[in-house]
Amino acid sequence: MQTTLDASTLRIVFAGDILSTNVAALRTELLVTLGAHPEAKHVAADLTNSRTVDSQGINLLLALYRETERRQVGFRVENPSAEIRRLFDLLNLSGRFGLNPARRP
Amino acid sequence: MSTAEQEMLELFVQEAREHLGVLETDLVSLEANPRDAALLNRLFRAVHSVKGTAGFFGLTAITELAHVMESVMALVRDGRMSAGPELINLFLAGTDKLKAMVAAPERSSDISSLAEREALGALLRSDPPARPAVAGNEILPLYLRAFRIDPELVRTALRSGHHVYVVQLRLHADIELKGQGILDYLREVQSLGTLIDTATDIDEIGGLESDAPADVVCSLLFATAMEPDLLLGAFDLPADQLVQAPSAALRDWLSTQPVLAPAAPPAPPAVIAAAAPVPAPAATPVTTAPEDGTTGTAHPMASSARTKPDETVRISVSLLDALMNLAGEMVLGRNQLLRVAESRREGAATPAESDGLGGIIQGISAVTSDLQRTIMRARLQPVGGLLGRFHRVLRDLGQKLGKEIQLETVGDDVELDRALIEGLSDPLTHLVRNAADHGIEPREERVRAGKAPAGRVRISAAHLAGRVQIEVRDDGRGLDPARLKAKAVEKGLLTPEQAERLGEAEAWQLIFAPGFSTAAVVSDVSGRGVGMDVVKTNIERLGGRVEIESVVGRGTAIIIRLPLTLAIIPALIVGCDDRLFAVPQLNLVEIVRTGPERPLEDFGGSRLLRLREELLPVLDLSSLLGLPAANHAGASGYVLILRLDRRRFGLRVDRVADTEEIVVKPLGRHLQGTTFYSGATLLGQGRIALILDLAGLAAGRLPVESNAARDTTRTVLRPPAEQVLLFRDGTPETFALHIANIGRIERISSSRIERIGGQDFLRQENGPTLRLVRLQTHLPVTQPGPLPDEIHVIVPRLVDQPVAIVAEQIIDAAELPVDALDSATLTAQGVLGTASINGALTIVVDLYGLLRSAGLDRPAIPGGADLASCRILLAEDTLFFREAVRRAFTGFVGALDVANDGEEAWQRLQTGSYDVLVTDLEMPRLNGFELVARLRADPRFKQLPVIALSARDTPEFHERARGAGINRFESKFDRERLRLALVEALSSSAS
Repeated sequence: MQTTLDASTLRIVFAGDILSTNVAALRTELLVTLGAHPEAKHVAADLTNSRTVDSQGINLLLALYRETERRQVGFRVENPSAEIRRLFDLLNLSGRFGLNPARRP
Repeated sequence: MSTAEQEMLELFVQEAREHLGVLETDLVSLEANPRDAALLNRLFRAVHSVKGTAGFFGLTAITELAHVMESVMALVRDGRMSAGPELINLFLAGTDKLKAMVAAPERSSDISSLAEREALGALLRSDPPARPAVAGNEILPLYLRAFRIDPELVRTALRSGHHVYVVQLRLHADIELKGQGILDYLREVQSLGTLIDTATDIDEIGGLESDAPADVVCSLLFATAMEPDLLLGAFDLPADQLVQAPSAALRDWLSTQPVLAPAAPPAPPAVIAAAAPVPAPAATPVTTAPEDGTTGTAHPMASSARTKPDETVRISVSLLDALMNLAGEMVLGRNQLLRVAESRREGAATPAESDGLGGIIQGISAVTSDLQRTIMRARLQPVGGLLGRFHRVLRDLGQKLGKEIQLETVGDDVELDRALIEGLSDPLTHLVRNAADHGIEPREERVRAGKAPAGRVRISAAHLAGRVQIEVRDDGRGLDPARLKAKAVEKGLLTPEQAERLGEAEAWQLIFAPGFSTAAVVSDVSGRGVGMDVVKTNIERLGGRVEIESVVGRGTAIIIRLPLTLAIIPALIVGCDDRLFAVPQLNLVEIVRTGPERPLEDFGGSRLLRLREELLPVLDLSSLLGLPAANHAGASGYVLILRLDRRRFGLRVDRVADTEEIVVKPLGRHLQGTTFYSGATLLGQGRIALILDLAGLAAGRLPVESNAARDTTRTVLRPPAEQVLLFRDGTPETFALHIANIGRIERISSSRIERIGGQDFLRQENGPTLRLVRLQTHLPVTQPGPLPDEIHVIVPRLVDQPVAIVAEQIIDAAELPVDALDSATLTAQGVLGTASINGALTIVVDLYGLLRSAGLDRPAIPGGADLASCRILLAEDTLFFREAVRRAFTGFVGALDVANDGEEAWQRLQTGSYDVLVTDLEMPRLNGFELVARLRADPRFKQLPVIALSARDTPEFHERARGAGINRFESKFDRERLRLALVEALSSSAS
């Protein structure tokens, strides 16, 4: 996981797929990262390196969304693969993740 | 209140009762299916309707209670409160209170519902705020409100007849654990229908520091042609994760949406979404609620089909239209007839008009038949309304008894005449309560027996061979014949010997005996010893029959068979004087012609008919109605043998006219006070016939009622007694003579008695002169005074000589308990013993002893047979006759063994050695004919002399006995002849 702070946006680039096998570690890492950047006003989850997510991956992204909600900062998902994007659309999460929902499922 | 207002109020009462009936049934169903959307909607609408109309009449007490019930129901409907047993109890209590108020709306404010309102109001105060809904979705059930619904997709789906479902998916448990990817799964879903919207529930998901929930739950709003079962299979989901959205609710919602409106716009894009809550679907777990497109709105006709039958009947508009059409055709036919009649009167009828008369009449005949059938249909109501009430009954009983009981009703759509439905209510309630209380075992007992913890009661209705069969079946402990018999013995209904002889089916019938109950503990549910006899009586009054099937440990079924209607019944038309009467064929057993050759017998002012081996009391219809009639025993006429409840009796009429299907019409007001008629009918020839109310006719007029009783129950509960005739002969003593000894009884003028050679005689016109026997001459009794002007003579049967016993007064027929016969206190020839009957010490006459004492000698018994060493086996099921035969042989033969029936005799023959078998012919288990057939088929007993005993004395019977291999056939009453027969049998056997 790589993080950069660009202006007030904290960009978190996930290293690979977000799956049940790594979500526990990622959860801890995310907590540490957010704690290290209290000044961030926006959080962007960059999925450039992720081809897919499973249910626990979705769970983690939703937890991150609720965490930003709690911290009263903005949240968006960036660069999802087509497959992940389709999944978010079907689950009606694209709008919540700041993606432009192209169409109804 | 004006008449119009009063009528309106009556309408309100009627409708409110229907709604409350639905409410009660549906509340109990809701307890089992707490998420059933259709049920919830129907409940809500029912309470809402009651509230609305009560408000119209200013019935505040009803409105207030209905309002709070409606508010709480809305919470349940919207998934904000679950319908557990406690809440259902509150709703039911509220429903009961509403029922009481609606029953007397003018006094509804006198009934306090404070407790119910406070209990329900507390729930309202504890309700959490509702979840946000998508704007415009407020009229939808809560679980649909959070979806962004494209009206066009829904409109198209409904127009295509598709169903709309909400499917709940757990992404991990329902998809990944089954080896599928989420995306692939959702693509498959899309191939099965139209995915209208989805919503992922994030309420359970906290921040990163919170415990991660086990799964992510996503709800799909999905339209498809697939039925729920198929869809669940395709999605591989459990039933509680699928709910069918009510089509009616969706249609209502569509009516608020603009036609051809574009799909709801998506949320405005935002580069960084605001952390605002996004509408989410209800977190309410969903469940299967199969429903057609209309049930969500409690259609009036649908609700009427579920209500208790009342004074009014709702019928469909189409049926009314059909009736109107038929009425129109009748008017047309009448007008045609009037025209022809008018023309004929004026002598101007054309041949064509006259010729057309037949056609007109044929047309009217056809229309009348159609009219009758259609009106009959209007009288029929689904039995479901009645059956549905038992959900509540069983629920409350289950709680009270601490048992879990499930009710299944089958055949709710079966239609039955509304009068029958009303009549069935009480008997069915008895049966269901009995099933719950006596049948279904406590939970622990069921588990120990390897049964499901919850007991099941199944009430089913079905059409069967032109009748309706209703069955109440439980899977409880069943009827234990041994226990039933023991109880019957304990209650004195049977002797131990009689109980032992009863078969399984006969033992079951014991539950219908008055006062019979096997409940170890009398509860307020049942076990008071009343009920089942009333059930049987009531069902029989409805023209039905009750049967029992039972398996110990498996359960019991009570089966009721009923006619479809009581409005048109088959009847026998009979006449007295010049009047006609209708007798329901249901009660008719047979018709016997009477006259000089078959006169009625006179018993102390009552008429009796000897029919085969039975003496039946006979009522004379002319006498009862005060009509002129030939009122003497030998008058020609007919006796209708009728069955009423447990009784059989005769009704004498002058003539029998015809059988006819009659339409029962109520009596006019002036005749409603009489107990003799149940209605009136118009016969085919235009004459009016009154329909006889047999119960009213018979009430208090059957002097020997007990003797007449002979239905199934009676047969099973054979009394431990014998029928005797009680009479006096001018002395204080009461005498009893066995009914079977009596041929006939005549009332004569004592002046007809002729005294010749110190003996009295009575000459008969059509028979030999009778020698009269006076009891006081031959028995040790008080000497009487002179004879009154009129006396009775009892002509015995099965005797060789023409004799008769003089009786000054016939008292009654009575039962002689066989164990009450005391043969020690008064011993004399001609006396069998004494007994206390109806509180009076009575001398039981030994007919043949009396005749011997009167010098009517019998043939001498020849010598030759070694009686002192002979061994006799007697097979006789009646204690009385066992005693009589035992006395005949005591001191006369070497040994006498007694068997209670043919089967026991057969067993005794296997181990004992006998010289003669003396056997009754009519016995339970194995009768005399069957016993002899077994003997003759067995080389060991082929030659065993058999003497058969019977009270029957017909040539046919003798012939049958000989054919069966019986050596001698004797009357069981004649001691001397029995002895003679025994001697002859032994002699011929020895030779």
